[in-house]
Amino acid sequence: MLESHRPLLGPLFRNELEKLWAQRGRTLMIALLVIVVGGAWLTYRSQQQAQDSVQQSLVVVKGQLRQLRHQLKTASGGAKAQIASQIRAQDSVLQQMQKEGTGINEVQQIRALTVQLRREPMAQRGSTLEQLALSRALVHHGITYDNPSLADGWTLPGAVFASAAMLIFGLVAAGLASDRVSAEFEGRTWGPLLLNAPRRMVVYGSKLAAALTVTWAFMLAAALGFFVVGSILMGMGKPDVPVLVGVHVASFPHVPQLMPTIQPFHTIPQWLYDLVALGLSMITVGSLVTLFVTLSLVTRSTVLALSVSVAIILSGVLAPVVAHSASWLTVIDPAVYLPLVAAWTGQLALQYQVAAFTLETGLVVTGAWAGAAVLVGLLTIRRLDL
Amino acid sequence: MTDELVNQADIMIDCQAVTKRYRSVVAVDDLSLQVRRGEICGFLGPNGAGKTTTLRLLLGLVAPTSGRIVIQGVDLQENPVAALNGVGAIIEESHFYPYLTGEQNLRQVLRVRGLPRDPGVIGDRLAKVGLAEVARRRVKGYSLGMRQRLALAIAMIQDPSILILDEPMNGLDPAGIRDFRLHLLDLAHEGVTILLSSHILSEVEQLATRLVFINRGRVVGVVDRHEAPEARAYVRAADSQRLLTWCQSRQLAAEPLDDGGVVVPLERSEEMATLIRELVNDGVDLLAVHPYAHDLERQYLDRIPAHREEVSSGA
Repeated sequence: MLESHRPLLGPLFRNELEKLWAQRGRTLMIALLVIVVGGAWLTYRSQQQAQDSVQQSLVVVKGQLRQLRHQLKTASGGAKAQIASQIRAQDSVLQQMQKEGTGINEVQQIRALTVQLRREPMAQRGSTLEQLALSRALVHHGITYDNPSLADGWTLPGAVFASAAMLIFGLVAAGLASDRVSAEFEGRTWGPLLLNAPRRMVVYGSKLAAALTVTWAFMLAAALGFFVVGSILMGMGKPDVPVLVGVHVASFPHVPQLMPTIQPFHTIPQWLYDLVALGLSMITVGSLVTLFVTLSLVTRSTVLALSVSVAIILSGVLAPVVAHSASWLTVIDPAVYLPLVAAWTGQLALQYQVAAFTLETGLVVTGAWAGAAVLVGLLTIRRLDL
Repeated sequence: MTDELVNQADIMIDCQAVTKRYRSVVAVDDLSLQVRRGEICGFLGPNGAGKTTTLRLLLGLVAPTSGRIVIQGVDLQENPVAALNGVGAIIEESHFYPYLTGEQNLRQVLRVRGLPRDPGVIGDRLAKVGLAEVARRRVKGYSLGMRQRLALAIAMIQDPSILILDEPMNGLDPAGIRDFRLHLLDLAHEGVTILLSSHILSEVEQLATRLVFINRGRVVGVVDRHEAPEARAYVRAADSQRLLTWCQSRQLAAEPLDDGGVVVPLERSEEMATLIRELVNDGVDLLAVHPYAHDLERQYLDRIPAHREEVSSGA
């Protein structure tokens, strides 16, 4: 008899990777290509259209200004004063549009914000201080003109992982994870698998590890892809442009919306922000993968597990609708935290108008879901009869 | 004492009063079964008798509700890895990963079992079952017979000491069945213990050294084919009752069969002529007399009448 040394996780994990790749390799490659190229192209197109629109508007406003100045020369009395007032207003519009086209002069911005800060009520000062901190950091890094609406190779990955586009990665995770165990039952390969690998917990662990590895590899490849394709289409940009993080929001008396609190505002360079955005997204997607693999084990049905998984992902879309009436429900919804880095920058709380959407809450919620899923998975697989 | 120890060590599969319940359904009921080293044990019973559940219990795929299973001297519940080390199996219809090749399916088992990753082993096993040429073809393109051969290659991957086979000949063509039979006989000759469940009674008849009949989750009969009396006569008369009375008067332990005939034990096969002469002399009108062979179908139907009723009513 050949000598057998029953292994732990490694060989089973390799088997699961081999199966996953044989089943989904081609689909994953196509999906990666579509998501990266399609996403970068859409960003580039919308950016181009916005810039074209600004340029066209500039031409129109400049034409109107020329006409008004011509009229001013021939006008007299009250009409002249009225035209002069119109010219001032159009001039202001023109300056604003030029800023949008070329970027904001950060030195002027700092002066304007400092003046604005003195006149503002306390509730709005957090927001102004936030902008001020960002402008100061930009100037500190030698960036005097900045246009935050323009994407490039360095900003695109971070922007994707902080946006609703994360739903796509959630759906990819659902497609990868929700048949990991059920397909074995449906294909009647579970018996032979357990016969050869009697340690059931290891079987569960290997399936989970393989699903996590492939999903995370997909996300990593997507991040690299966004950087490369974004750089080709829109230029590489700068890796050290500061990004504001650790922003907390709260409600203030007599202010209808949540506003940033007065706090020390920290910045990190764009490259680090991209890495953190990727890392945090991997945590939330990993939590969902754990949940989906366990669903596949508990239901033993791919259709059912996939339906529930997709419903969980799409609950993130419905969250803004129910955020006001049932905010506690959205707080424990793991799909809401898919763009977890957005919770760190305060965008998530501002978007949903729920102050509880912080990085800490996101980590606790995703961690709790993953922990519960692993516990249920281990308990289920121990008692599972064929 | 020594003999007892030797006998104990010789028992490769020991199923002790095992019961398996699925809610109110008792699939296996207080079943005890022992299979000795090098034995080919035929496991026979109608559909729903509990054969597959028993085999799954023996392979640790389901846990018994009560009772104890010892494989190769190791308690299956306590140490499944050690107990099932060197156990090969084919469970019902064989299922594989259809999107992997035959070679990849085999490699998966090698890895999981922690066996040396020698490519020669895979090639050797596939060649043994005649699948060397299609080793790199995806299993979804395999015929049923090819899948059964692949299942056998996987079952034998570790040079097993025990083979547990559930309907292994399903889908095999006559040549495949013959090859399979010869292969099993070779393995048994090498000392491999084989527990074989099959509906192809003629095949079990040619292979098994012992037969275990199971019905409604219980063992209803065990026939050791080496120990069974060789000399028996099947006698059928126009008046069955008279035939039975005649046997009783001669103190013969005749066994009545459902078709009206009786099986009469003989000291030697040469006594058949004497038996016929005496029956004729005593005026018993004979319809048929012939040696009663090891007719597995008859043994099966004798022990599992419920199945016969099911079949007849179904027909």
